[in-house]
Amino acid sequence: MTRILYIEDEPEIASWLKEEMVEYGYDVYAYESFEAFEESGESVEFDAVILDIMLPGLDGFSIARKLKRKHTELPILLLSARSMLDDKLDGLQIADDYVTKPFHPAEVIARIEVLLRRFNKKDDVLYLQHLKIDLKDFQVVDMDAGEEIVLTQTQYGLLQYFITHLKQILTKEQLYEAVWKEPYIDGDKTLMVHIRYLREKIEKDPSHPTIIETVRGIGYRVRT
Amino acid sequence: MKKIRRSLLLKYIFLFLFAIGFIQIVVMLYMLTINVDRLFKEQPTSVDIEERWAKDMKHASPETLENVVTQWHHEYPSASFFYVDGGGMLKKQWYRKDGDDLPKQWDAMRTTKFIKSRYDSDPFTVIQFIGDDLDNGFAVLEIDRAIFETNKLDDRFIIIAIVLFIVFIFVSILFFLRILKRLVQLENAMTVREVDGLPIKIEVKKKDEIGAVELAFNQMVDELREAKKQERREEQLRRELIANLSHDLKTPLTKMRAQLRHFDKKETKEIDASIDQMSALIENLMAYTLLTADKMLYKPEDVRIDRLVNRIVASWYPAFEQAGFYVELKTTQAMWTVDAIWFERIIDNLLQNVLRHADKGKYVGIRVSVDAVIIQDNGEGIQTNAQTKGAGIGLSIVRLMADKMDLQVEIASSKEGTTVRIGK
Repeated sequence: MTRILYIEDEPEIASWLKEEMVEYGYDVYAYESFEAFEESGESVEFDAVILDIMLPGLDGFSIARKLKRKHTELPILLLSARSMLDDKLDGLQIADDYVTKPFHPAEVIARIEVLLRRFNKKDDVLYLQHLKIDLKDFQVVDMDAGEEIVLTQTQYGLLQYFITHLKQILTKEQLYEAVWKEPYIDGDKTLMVHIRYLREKIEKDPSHPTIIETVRGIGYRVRT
Repeated sequence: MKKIRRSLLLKYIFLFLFAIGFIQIVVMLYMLTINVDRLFKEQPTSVDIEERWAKDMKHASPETLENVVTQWHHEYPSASFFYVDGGGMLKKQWYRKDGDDLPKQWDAMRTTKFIKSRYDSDPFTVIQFIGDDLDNGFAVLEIDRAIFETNKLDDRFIIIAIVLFIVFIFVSILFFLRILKRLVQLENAMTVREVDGLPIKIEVKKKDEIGAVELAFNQMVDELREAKKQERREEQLRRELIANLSHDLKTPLTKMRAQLRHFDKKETKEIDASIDQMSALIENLMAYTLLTADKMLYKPEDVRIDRLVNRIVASWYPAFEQAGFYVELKTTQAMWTVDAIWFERIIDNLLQNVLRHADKGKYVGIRVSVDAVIIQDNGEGIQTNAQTKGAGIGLSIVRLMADKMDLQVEIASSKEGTTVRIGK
């Protein structure tokens, strides 16, 4: 079960979001301040943290910084009412993502899911149409044929980046720089070529791809 | 006292006095050495010579004259002599350079003329009868007067004077050049700016007048820096205040949404949408306040506008997709100098407006060219749309930000749609 640490001083908002997350299937530990959390002596290992920014005592930024120092691999999501432009940046240098108030619980959960995948906190198996992707063992299986699909490192890197950014449209620049770790050069066909290879391996009909979707002129997307 | 001792003025006065006094000092020094010289060397005077010659002639006779002359010549090599006997005949000459200018026969008239011509002139001449007897005739001693005087302005002195003068000029030039150099350094320090736009502090090496100016300058730089820091603190405080205000306004909105869960979703759809709208308005209001007060963080840099717009459109795509829009993006490479966050905000606001107010056309086209970003929709146009009140502040922010970044905003709107052009 996914364990979430949630610190929020507004009881009404806290009980609401906690309820929604519990319903989704998370194990939520909610506190009204970081001090309250420390006093509780809770020693569970969390998979993700949700922090309100304006808190009595230590604020969200400070808590995030403190937690990140100890646990670099702990994803942190900030709930910010202060969506002023510079604060967003400030938050993102310490935390991994933010959601602005007034938020929808569904949005918070979606962001947490993305973060969990990005930090490999989900030991689950992902099903994409006829594909079964074991994220722990880096294994891709074609369930219709009952065969494993062997991917090259680059192809797996691409697929993994898509999976950790499910539903998001990724631009060529973003994909290239994330997978190849070099600046993208305009007109470079490398990315397109590798996406074609990947499609040839995983798509039922590579000329009409359904898993890796092309959003014309904008980028690529993988949806569940 | 300490201050005076270190002052440039004192240095200059010293130099000046030296300039005036050095010739006199040199002359005095020279005189002193001459007098010392004379004291030890026993320089003869004309009186000494005359007395000695008179004495020597008194004891001499025409026969011994030769010996006396030889003795004198030994002592005064520049002296010359001649002898005229009792009959007035020129008998003999010794060591004379101009040889035969003397008359052979000396009568009273000639003798008087000679005496007259030699009186108080050069060479110094002494006439003396030999052995005090007129019949023995007389002997004449001629000696250059130069022997009584020490050489006045000799070469040595002139050389010393010239050398000292050159030294003086050199020291003066050095003195002023050093002052000049420090002044130029000061000027440079005042014109050079650090990253924060303030001048750089100077290292104060000397505690004279220029040092005092440098010290005052450093103090000024400190004060400027302090003032700038204070200003930044105030700006930070103001931003903080607005951010807190935003939080205070948005927390109740979140609470409202939290309470909506107790009602049927169908009934609360409108309220839910209003909460989002309210939130966006609060945000825009805060941004507007900061922008008009010129307190919004602004960091312009070279940005690949085509890539930035691509990313923004990618993030908006799901929302447009859900609303059934057809999204078209066409880009060419473009590099602009803008604040990326501001630019993102501009595009966000424009796309937000399209999503909210151009639902009729179900189309949004975004084109990026080298010098323009164009966002086009097939909605009802801004003027004809009764619900654009909310778009007002969003567009104001777009205009303010574009203005600050030197971008032109042109909006063309008709019943067939709206085109917004952000031009470089």
